[in-house]
Amino acid sequence: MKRKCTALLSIPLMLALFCMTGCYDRIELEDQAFIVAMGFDKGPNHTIDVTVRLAVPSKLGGGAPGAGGGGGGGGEDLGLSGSKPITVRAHTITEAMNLVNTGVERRVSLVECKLIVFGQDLARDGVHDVLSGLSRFREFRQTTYLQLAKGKASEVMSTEKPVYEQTDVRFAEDVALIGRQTGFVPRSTIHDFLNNLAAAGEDPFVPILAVNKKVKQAADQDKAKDKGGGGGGQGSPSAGGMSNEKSSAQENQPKLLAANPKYDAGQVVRLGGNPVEFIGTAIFRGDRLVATLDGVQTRMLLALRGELERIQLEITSPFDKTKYTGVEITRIARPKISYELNRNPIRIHVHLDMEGNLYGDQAGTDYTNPANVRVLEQQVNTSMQSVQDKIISDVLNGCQADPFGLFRRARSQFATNAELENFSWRQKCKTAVVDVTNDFKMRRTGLILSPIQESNEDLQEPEINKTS
Amino acid sequence: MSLPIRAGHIGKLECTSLLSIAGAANVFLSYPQQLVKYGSQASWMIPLFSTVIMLLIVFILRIVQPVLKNEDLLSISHRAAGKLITAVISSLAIVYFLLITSDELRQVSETVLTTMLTRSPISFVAIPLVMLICYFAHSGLEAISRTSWLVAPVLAILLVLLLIGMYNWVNVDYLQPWMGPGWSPLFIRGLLFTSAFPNVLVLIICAGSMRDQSHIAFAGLWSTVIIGVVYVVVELVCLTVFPAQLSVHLSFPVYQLARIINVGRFMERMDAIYIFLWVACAVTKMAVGLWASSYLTARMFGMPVYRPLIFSTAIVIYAIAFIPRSYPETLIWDATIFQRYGIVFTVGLPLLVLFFVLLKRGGKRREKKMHRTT
Repeated sequence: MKRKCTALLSIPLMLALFCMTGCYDRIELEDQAFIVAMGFDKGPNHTIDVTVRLAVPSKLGGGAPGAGGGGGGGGEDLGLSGSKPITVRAHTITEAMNLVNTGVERRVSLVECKLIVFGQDLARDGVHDVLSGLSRFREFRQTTYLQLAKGKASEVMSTEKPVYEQTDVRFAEDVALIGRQTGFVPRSTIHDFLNNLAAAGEDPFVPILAVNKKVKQAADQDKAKDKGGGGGGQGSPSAGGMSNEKSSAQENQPKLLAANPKYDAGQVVRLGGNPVEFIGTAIFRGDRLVATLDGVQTRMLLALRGELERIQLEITSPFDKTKYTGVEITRIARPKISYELNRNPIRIHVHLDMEGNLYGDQAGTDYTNPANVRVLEQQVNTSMQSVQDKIISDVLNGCQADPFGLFRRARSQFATNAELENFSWRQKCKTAVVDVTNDFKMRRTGLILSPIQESNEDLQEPEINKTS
Repeated sequence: MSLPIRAGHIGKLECTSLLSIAGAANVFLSYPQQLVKYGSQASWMIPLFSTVIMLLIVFILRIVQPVLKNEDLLSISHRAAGKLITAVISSLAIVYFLLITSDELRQVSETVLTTMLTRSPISFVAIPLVMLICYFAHSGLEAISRTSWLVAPVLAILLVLLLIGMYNWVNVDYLQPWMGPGWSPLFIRGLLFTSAFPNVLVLIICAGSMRDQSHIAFAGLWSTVIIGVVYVVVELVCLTVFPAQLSVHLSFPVYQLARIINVGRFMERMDAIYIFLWVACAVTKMAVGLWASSYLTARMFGMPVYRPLIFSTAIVIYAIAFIPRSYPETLIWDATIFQRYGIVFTVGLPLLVLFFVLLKRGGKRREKKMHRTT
């Protein structure tokens, strides 16, 4: 009897299995359009212009995007991820997603979105609405990278042509990685931004992307030349045989106009490479953009935060003001911060411990002499401190923003939340005095111990110079 | 003394894992967020205080353990306090288990719906869960405890991996100021949070089924410690990854932790694995709740078996689960009913029963003494 009952019961259960072969949430891969990067710009009348880039894997066949066109593109320059950006104007992100779907025949999905770019105007007005909208999306991840476009996000997204990468996903990850190498850009994800926004005593910051007009102009000229049958690659002279053609081509070559290197986003003195450059930091107070830092200042921001991993720093040689000395700097400990919160104005003492190696010296100084090493260390400390003092004065005192995390660590000075709230740190930023002490120790001199000396023989000038 | 209804035999490790999983199940739902609401960045101390309080109850249980002779909640109270008190105690316990199981069912269904199956109707998630817990409860406490013992190592490893995966996001500064809202709110909330430790109550209900009665205190002690450690550690990690001001807004903090695991370029998007973790824990808790409410009902009415009651009890649980109109309303119910008055059931009921046993033991000793003197 029991067996019969079990058998009878198992029939409807087995039939039920057939109803469960699919589910309501099933969406086939080929029914989806994956957004890999999104840009947000301020639109008129309380709207936002949302720029999205979709991944089209079938058009990512071969060749770097900078080389013009993917394998499936038939020579057409499709840009990153195999597609050109799409921009829609909407009031909210959800509305924008629906409007994107009026021109894209598959259901757009944010599952693969890895990069968010804010336009400068939108950032000045505040990005809270956009971020709070995004963080509710289940598809959206807090590990998505954030960047700020100097100018419009849509312009930056349509201009970028990475040298190596073919997708926005890899591009965003690379920018974050290269920031650890150069220190010119910080790393910022939505998680970091929201944490800094919500936690007391800290303000968010994001890396800056900017179009370098000179590089873009050169790239456009090359493109026009290619279309006109000029041949040659990016920045290469035309392959004509006539000498006058050659000289006119050389005249048309873009030139590096500035006399000195620059570290501002969009102003780096260079030719070739991605027209969009990643250097500098955008500082927010709350959710509003209040200041920007250049590449060198960004390094010092990271140093004060204790996030500077390893950078190569060029400083004027202490022994010859016309020459430069290069040192590689690594932090060896978390910044030591002490507070005098009872004083008015409050005083914060920051001590940075760093060490490094000499990796270049134009002045030919002998750094096997400990006295010379002390002078160099002092020069590094002074040079770093001057930048640190300036950014603290501009950002902390001037804008009352604390991307340095100085007040975040001051939380340990309070026992309860009530004490912390009564402190009103934001107001104290205006007059806070921050004493930064850099303690750099040079450990090694690289593969060359002491400078290679020229021989005493009289050098003959080359024959070619004499005749000319 | 043997129980009127056979519920199988439970070993000490099986019992400990069953109680631990059932007790810690809510850590994967909204409880970390609820804790932050009351304790801010010091909310990790709340379960610490609760653990200490629960250990005191376990200590009392250890004292009365030798007096218990294969008895459960009802037989103890019946022997010690009489029929009427037993009816009141068992009614309270039945209501408690019905309500917490309904609450758990609704919260788990809403969690799965919000995080994974966003387009499915809620019944599509809730009905299979109810069928599953019916099967578990029908199989009996021994089956549930053995299954718990089997899955416990997997759950522990997954949880440890999740917490280790957070190493690159942790920021200890977020835990300061250390005392958060201050000592007294933390301690009061710690007292109320003992409602998240149903292990001692469940232990007294299933005490009669323990293979060896001397292991009751062992299971009580270790399950309390494990539940406390899980809550404290998970809360600490949540608070160091998401500052209190942010985690108080997160619906499912542990799910958010799983979503940001990002080791190198390839170790990410691990959240799907962790769905298994919390569904497994929630199913264990719900199965225990369904079993306990059916079992106590059968015992209260003197029925020889409890299994015929399982399906009808499950329907009641399903119906109660859908009384709140929305997920936020479910959380309000949870906060205002279970987290505020749950202590009456998780601490009050066991204490009352243990108090009766102590009284009875004291009375017997006095009688023996008087007998000797006369």
